[in-house]
Amino acid sequence: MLAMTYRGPYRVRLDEKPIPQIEHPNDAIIRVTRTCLCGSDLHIYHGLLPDTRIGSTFGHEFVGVVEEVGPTVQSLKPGDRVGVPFNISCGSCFFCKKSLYGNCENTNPNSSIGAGFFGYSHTTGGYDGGQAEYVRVPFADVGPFKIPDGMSEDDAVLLTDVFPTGYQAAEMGDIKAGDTVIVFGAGPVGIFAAKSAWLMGAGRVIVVDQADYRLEFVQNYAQVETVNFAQVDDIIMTLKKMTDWRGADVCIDAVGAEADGDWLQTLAGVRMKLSGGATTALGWAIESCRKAGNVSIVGVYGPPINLVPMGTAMNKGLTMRMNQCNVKRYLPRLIEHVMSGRVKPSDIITHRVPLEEVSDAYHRFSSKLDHCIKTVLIPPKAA
Amino acid sequence: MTNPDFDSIALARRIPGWGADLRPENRPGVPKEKVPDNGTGAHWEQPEQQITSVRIFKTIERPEVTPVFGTTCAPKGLSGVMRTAAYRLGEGKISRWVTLLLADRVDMFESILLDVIKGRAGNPFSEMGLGTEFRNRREKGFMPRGWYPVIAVGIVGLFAASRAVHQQKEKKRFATFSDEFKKVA
Repeated sequence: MLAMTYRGPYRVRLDEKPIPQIEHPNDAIIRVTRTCLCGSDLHIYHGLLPDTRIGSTFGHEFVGVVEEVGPTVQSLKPGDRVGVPFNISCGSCFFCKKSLYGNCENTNPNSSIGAGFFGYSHTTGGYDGGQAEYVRVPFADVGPFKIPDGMSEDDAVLLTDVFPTGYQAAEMGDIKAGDTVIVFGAGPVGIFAAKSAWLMGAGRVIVVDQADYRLEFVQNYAQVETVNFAQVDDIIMTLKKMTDWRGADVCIDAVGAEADGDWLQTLAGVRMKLSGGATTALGWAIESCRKAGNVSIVGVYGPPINLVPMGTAMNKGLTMRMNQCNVKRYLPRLIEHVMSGRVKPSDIITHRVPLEEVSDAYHRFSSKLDHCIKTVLIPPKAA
Repeated sequence: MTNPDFDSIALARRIPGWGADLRPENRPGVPKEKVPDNGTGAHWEQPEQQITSVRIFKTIERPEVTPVFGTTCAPKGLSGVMRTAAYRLGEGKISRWVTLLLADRVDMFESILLDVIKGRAGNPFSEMGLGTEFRNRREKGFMPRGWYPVIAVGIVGLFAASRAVHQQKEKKRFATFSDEFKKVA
């Protein structure tokens, strides 16, 4: 089968790989029909996540058709159209029983910090991902959801990660009616965090980024105010002035390890790898949040240390919440939002390209060329 | 609430779905820990153990290998030796992660070598997707901004090197000319 393979930092290509096999009785093999590039794919594409092995196939956002199921699979059969949450969960461990699917302890032997993810290095379990024609899906009775009739695959694929992650980001902010919410990052997750903040009754939503085309998009898509941090002298001062000098009730970091805006953070965290990425956006979230406000973090950082202004956070009495998204628990509600027309996830897709153009797609997304926001790859057998 | 101009009616009119999940009971993640409403889909107490012949590393912070795991890209070569060493360290140690990052770079060079030996070396230009750079980069300049200092240093270096070579040649020529002139004189 054709599959994207990682060749080293900034280098990927399409290779022939064996079609995956059933390796566990509750596995399913999915023929991929849509798969996305995610902002967090860029961290591994740039070689920032330890134990990303050459030859790995990335891709944790995908939908497809069930091709084969293992002997104990009960809920799926060949031919079913399914979406697959990016995290792999067993459904029976201490955490899954509390609906914390992103923290499952039965799917990642390599690290105790998180569950197994599709196509996201051996630090998250060493699974091949969905940027391929076929993918092995463990615990097929737990993770995959059947795509409802009437829902497009383009909408469904965005329910496997970015929309739930953005929604959980807003939810972890504990937004109350009329709250002012600042979202750092106008990438796909930031866009959905902003959209979800309205669903939760925010009174004002401000999105911060430096790419004008992304700010323009989120302004139109989510009806928010925007600030380009590259065009102001001091982003914290600007945000404080905009929020009666107190700061926002809720600040959301939807950027993560490769934030721009502070050369020292970029040098230490991204170029020299002295810490797990640049925490510039998280620092700004802490600084621009009001005292006793809430900071929500869904930006991805590398282990084990980061430069975070904890003294400020402590003195301001902030509540900080963070997690990988527990996609499965959000699906029923988010499917309702999509089917009712409140949110149209596929509107953020800017590029639909064949899987064969995966190298170009990564470079375009990484370098923010051609006003790229969200890229969907289409394998040849799905075209 | 810090927004003095908050007008829920106007917002609801302007923004589709505004306030649909205002009530905590409409938020699927509230409370943070809860028993799943309709079960998880699991019909086992303890999942069956996946069997494999591929070498799987296990963090020392876990008692045993998890019931399922990925089997792609088994460790190999020098990078495999480095990964073995890294997985003997706890996850709170920077040396674990730095060793894994270094192993990734060694893995890259090993793979390039293997590709060349097997005659399937890829084209780095197309692997980096630089074709799209030429097609799409109009408003942002021609190359990624990070390359500019490298290119500038390269150009200055080349210029300096060519000047140095030129000066050496001139010196030599002048010396030869002077010698010949002395002979003639």
